[in-house]
Amino acid sequence: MSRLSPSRRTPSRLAKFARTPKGTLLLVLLGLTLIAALRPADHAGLLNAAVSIVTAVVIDVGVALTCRRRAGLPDGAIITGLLVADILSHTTPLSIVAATTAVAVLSKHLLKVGRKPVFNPAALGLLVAIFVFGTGQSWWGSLALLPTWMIVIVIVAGTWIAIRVNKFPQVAAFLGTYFVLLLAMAVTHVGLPTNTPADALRVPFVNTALFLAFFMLTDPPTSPAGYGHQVVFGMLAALVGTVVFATIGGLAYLLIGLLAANAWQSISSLVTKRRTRPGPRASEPLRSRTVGP
Amino acid sequence: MAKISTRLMSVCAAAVTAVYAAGYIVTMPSAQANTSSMPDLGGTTPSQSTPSAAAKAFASHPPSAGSTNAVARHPHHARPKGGTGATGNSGAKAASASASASAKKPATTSRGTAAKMAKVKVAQYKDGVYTGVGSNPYGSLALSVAIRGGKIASVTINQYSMHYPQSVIDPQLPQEAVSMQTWRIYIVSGATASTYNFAEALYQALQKAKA
Repeated sequence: MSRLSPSRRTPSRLAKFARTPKGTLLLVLLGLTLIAALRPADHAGLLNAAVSIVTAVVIDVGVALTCRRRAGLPDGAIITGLLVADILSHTTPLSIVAATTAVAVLSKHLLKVGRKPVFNPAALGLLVAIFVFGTGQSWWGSLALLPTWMIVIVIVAGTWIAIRVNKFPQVAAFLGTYFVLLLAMAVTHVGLPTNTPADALRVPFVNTALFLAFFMLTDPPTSPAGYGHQVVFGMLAALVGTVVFATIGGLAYLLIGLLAANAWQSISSLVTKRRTRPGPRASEPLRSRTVGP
Repeated sequence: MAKISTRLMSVCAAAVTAVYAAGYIVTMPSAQANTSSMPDLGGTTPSQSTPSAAAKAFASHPPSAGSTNAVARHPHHARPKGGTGATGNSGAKAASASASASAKKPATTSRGTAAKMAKVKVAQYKDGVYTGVGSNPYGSLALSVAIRGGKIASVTINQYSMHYPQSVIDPQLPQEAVSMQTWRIYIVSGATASTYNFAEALYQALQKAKA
C-alpha cells in the first residue's frame, strides 16, 4: 500500500498562490520579463526589475509595519515593481527606477477611497516619472522590441489573465474602442503628422496598448467588478487615451487614459455608496407610535 | 457574479480583431509612406524589422571607454531641461541645430582616450558634406556631417520623426560626435532608439566620407 506524503496531498503554499489571480499575473509578468530580456540590449532590464521589486517590497512592508498591519507577502507591490520595470527604458538609471517604484507603491497607500487605491499604482508612478524625472519608456516587457510574431505570446498570456480575473469585457471594450477610434482617425485624417494611427496599430506601439489592456487595466482594486461598469471603464480609458494621442502625442497617452478611467471609477463608487447608504427610516417612529400603547 | 460565456467572448474577440484588421489595412498606405518618406540620401535604409546596424555595431564594438550600460546608468550628460521624455510631441520641429565646431574639452579621461583613438582615424575622412539615415520601429532621422581637414566639423540633424522629442538628443549627440570624432556616441538615457538611429545615420555618413 502506498501512502501519499502530506506534502504531495496538499499543494504547497507557493502552488496555491500561483493558482490565485495575483499569482498567475505575477508568473505571467515574470515570464514576459525573462523573454523580453533575451534581447541582448535588454539584459540590463533584469537588474532594473530586481531593483524595482526590492524597492516595492521594502516600501510596502515598511508601510505595513508603520501602520501596525500584518505584513504578509507583498504580492501587489511585487506586481507593481515588475510593471514599472517592464515599461521604463532599460537605460533608466537605477535611482530613477527605485524612485518611480517608490512613488507608485506610496500612491497605493496614500490615494485611497475606503480601502481601495484610486489609481493604478504603476500607471501613476510612471506618469509622475515622465514629468518629474523625465524618464523615457520603452515598454520592453511587452516584447515590443522583439520579433513581431512574439506579440502572440502577449495576446495569449493576456487573454488568459483577463479571463482569470473576470475582466474580459473590460479588455474587449478598451481594445475595441481604441481600434475603432484609431480607424476613425485614419479615415478622417485626424491627428498629428508624427503620431499617426498607422504607428499606433503597428509593432511596437500596439504592444504597449495590449500590455496596458491585459495587465494594467485589469487590476481588480482599481477597476469595476460588474460587467456594465467594466465596459464603460474600458471605453472611457480608450477614449481619453486616444484624444491625448491625437492632440498631444508622445507615449504617455495610454497611462493618462487609464488614470482617467480610474478616477471615474472612484467617483462613481463614491456616488453609489452615498446613494445606497441606509438613512434613518421615516416609517419606524410612526409604526412604533401605532403599535405602542 | 455569472461569468461571461465562451461564445460571447469569442464574438467579442472576433469583433475586436476585425476592427483592428480594418484599421491596419486602411493605414497601410500611410505606414508605407512613413517608411519611404525618408529623403533619398543614397544610403540603404535598414529594414524596420531587423536590428539596426548601429545596434549591432554597439553590441559587437562597445565603446572602448567603459561599457555602454555603465555609461547609460551614470550618464555624463544630463538630459536637457524641458525634455519631457516620452510625453513630448515627437520632433515636429524642424531640425536645424548643429554642433558647434568649438567642441567641448573631453570631460573624463576615458573620453580623452576615445578622442585620441579617434584622432588616428580622422585621416580616413575626405572633406565635404555627407549624409546618412537611421531608422527603427520608433521612427527615423537623417543627418549631414561636414568634414573639414579630415575631421568631423559639424553634425546637423536634417529630418527627425521619432516618438521622443528631438530636444532629448539635439544638440547633445551632435556635439558629442564632434567632440569625440566618432559615431560611437554614448547612449542618452531614455532615448535609446533615437540614439541608435543617430549613431546609425552618422556611421553611414562617415562610411561615405572614408577615403
